[in-house]
Amino acid sequence: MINVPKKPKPSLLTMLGFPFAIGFSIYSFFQIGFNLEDFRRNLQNRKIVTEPLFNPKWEWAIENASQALVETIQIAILASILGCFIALPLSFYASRATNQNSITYFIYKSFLNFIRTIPDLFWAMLFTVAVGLGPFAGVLALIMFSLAIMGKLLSETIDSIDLGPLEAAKSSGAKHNQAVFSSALPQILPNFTAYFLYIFELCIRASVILGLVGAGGVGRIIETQRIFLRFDRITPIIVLILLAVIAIEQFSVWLRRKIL
Amino acid sequence: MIKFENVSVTYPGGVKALDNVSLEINEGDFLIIVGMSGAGKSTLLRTVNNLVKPTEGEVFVDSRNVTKANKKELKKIRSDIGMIFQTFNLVNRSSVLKNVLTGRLSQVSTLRSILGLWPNEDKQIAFESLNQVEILEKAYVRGSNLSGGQQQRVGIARALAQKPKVMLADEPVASLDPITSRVVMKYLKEINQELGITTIVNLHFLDLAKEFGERLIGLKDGKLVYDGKVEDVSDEDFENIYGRALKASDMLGEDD
Repeated sequence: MINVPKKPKPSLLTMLGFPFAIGFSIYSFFQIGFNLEDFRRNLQNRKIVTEPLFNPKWEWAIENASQALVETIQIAILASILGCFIALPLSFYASRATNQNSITYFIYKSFLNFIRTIPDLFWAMLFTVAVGLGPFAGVLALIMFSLAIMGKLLSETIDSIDLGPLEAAKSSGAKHNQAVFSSALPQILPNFTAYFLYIFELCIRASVILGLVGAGGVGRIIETQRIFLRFDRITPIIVLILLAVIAIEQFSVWLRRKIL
Repeated sequence: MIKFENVSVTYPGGVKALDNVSLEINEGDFLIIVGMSGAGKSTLLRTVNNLVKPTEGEVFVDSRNVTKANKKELKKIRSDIGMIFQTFNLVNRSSVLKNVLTGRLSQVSTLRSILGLWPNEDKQIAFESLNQVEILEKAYVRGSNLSGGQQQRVGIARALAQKPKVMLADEPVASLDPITSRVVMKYLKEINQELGITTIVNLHFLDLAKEFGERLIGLKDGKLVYDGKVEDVSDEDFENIYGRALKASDMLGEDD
């Protein structure tokens, strides 16, 4: 007779957590008003939306929306470049590996956390009030958006670099900034490039939405047409955006492979 | 040249790495420190350039007080002290030349070093340092594309580029095979003899210590337990330093 050990009891977390997760999901399902009957009833009225939706006005869209689409892309390019390069030096102050001063570390870390807490649409509304409606507000909003993401990702990457080269530079009498630049920066450059391309893609998509609150770009045209229920004009715009996003993402994939 | 006055180091958590060490090292010495791992060799070396700050006592280099130096003075002192590391500590993504130029950082402004606008004079020094360890032809190769022995020679070149008065080598051959180990030790010895740079090397291979050293000190549990000429040191002395009988693994072995 061999001595088979007893199967351990499931942990308290599985015993309580699993039923709770299921129970909460079911509760939310009813609370939100997820109702297939509404869905079926509303499908009867679908003609208002679907008929124009499948009857796109291509000429109108190309004529009126292409310039705005270009503006959207410009906003994204400008904002991701500025945001990421502002985040680059800040990240070194927000990492334990390159900033031993607890006070400034805390300040920079909190600053980045604070920016990240505020949603991009809120930033956009804030800046349209501050600098007026238009693409400039959109650029400012997306700078904060890029800065927040890059600061978070990059400072955590810096936390995990090899500290040996930094010690080597310091032992030769280099100033702190010199040591960081010569020995820490090269280690995180590949990550920085990858994050930058990712953030650029996020900005392209986010800049479409920003137009809805008046921060420039193609979103503004979508919003106006939606108010007048001109779905025949919205369809081709959305297809154009989709094409642009796919093209840009392909380009970014290609670029990533080239430089990393 | 280098003076330790009653130096003790206690790390946070209570580990006493150095215990009341007093020591004087003369200009041009080639000093070897032996001891078990954890005996305080690395700590002793790092108090010379204040990478580790003594909790008690003071260290002097060239009659300048390292322990009490302010930030600016400390950088000045450090620029005269080259250091070589067990794991080389090269920036693998940067070229050999850029790595060696790191040794010149203390001599140029932050802006110049960031923009890469190195004065020709500094580049010349970097090339000469690479030439000294006979690896000049690799100047534009990435650090990661070199073998361990080559990387350590770049490490030496980087320290040499400081035009140092003192050279600290922390287990410089511990990551290398026996043949490359002797090559690296040979360069260190050459540099010591040709350029008169005071050199301190941490080693744990006794035969290497005997082969290359002149003066030898032994550390045990943070205390100085041996100080004398290499040729006078007996197996009993080593056994005292190590606190046990000698084993084959204490020797690097033959290289042929």
